[in-house]
Amino acid sequence: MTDRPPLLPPTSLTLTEAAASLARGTVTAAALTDQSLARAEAWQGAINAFIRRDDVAARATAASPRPGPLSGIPMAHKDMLYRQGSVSTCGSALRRDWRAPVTASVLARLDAAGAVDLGTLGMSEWAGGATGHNVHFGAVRNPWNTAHVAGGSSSGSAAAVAAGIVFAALGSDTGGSIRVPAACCGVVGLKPTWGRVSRAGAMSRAPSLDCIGPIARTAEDVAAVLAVIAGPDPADPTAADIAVPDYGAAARGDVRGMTLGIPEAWFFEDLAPEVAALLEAARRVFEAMGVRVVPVSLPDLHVLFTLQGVVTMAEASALHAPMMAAHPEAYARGLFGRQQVGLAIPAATYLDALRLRPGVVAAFCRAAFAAADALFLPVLPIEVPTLAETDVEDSADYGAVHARMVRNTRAFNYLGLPAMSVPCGFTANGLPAAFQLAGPPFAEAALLRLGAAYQRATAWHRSTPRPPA
Amino acid sequence: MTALDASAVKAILEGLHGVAVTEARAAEIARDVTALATAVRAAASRLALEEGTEGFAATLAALARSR
Repeated sequence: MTDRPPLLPPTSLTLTEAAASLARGTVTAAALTDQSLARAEAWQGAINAFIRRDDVAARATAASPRPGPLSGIPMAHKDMLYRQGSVSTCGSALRRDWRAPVTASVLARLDAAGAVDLGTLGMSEWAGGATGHNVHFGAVRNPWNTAHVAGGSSSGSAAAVAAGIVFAALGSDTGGSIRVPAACCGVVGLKPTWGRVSRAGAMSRAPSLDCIGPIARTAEDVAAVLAVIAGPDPADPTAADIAVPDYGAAARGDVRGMTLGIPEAWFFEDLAPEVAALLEAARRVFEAMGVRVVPVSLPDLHVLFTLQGVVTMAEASALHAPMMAAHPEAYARGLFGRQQVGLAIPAATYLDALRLRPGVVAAFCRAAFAAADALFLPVLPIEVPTLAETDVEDSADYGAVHARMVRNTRAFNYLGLPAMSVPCGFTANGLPAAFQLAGPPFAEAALLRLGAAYQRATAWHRSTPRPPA
Repeated sequence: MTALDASAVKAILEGLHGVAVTEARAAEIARDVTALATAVRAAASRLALEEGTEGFAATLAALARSR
């Protein structure tokens, strides 16, 4: 990194507002990019959001940005979305110098939409953790309080957006890796329906579950990015050939008459009292907007946690077995131990977990969405923990600590359903809290409509962490 | 019922995959995998879902169309 430039005043612009300013000519892409790079430099020592910055390339793009819906918008992305010829570490020492052979389809689409790519963002090792710790590249820290975790595995993506460095960032989510860091950092994170967004050119964690999605300050900003990256892709046969709705219009839509379902069990159990109070306040905001709130009874949630775990561990372990055998020392002990479990899962157990999936998601949707447009539930059941409380990368406590972080998010990966984290206030420790909206397959528009309406009625997303001194 | 044991785990990890594992860790893994396999088997029996002809992606698309 270069000498630290003077820090510009904090910006309160959202991506949508910045795009409007660019269109009006009241700001230039070059100025926005310079500001983003200055903020990246100023924050790096405090939060460690970036693994690599591409200042020269970013400035070159910003000097003459392509026209498009994201023209001139500074972004950066999780370091597992490949760019041909560039190093993509995937948060692992094994890939410290590994150059990607292809460019991820999502990056190509953002390039075509005119976005400016500042570089690659920190992440949990092989996208395998929920805290943001990383023994190889250092932990990404929370901009609201650097003693606390940023969440994982898309830790740098959420931290960089929260710190106002970039207007949006892509992450990936196999068990909560977009929603958990978004919740920890007080920004919006959307895990789309499995198949909504191409994974071509992205590192696989567990292909049956992996999703790529946006993190941004607002649901409206998330809609703007999702509109660019969603849709079928010849390079990824799992990307669904289903029409992409106008997410921007959805985010501007009225929510009066919509219905939120609140699960009667599991998600609201063992909730920290402060988190419960903030969720209750958010629920009242929805009711005040004319959203009906009804209880829903969901089937067998505990087993979803187990099924997701079996699929994740079996698939990740299969991908990693050769590297685990050849380079065991190159893994954090906690992750290595977790993946050892996956190697011993019987094929019949893994196949049972996959075989049950269509019937389970159909039964879940019948129960959850017969009378509701979306579910309303917590993301983290606890206040955002400290780095010290969660420093278990080399400990036998790894599984328990990470499982608690993703307790309320994992089910939606097994179900393949869209789910979005939306900030809803701060607990007494000064860290953000968030609620989660989950919907039926390909109902991202409904989640964006609800999330954006909530943000129009509240101002949590206008809060920004204090820049480092 | 005889559960998976440490020696079986060691044989799978070291013998089949070449991944070293201590005896103590193999015993933990044996317990974990036994619990997972038992839970999934119980779910498969309890849910008694019919074998569908559609894959998961097709199910998601069909559910989206049905709304």
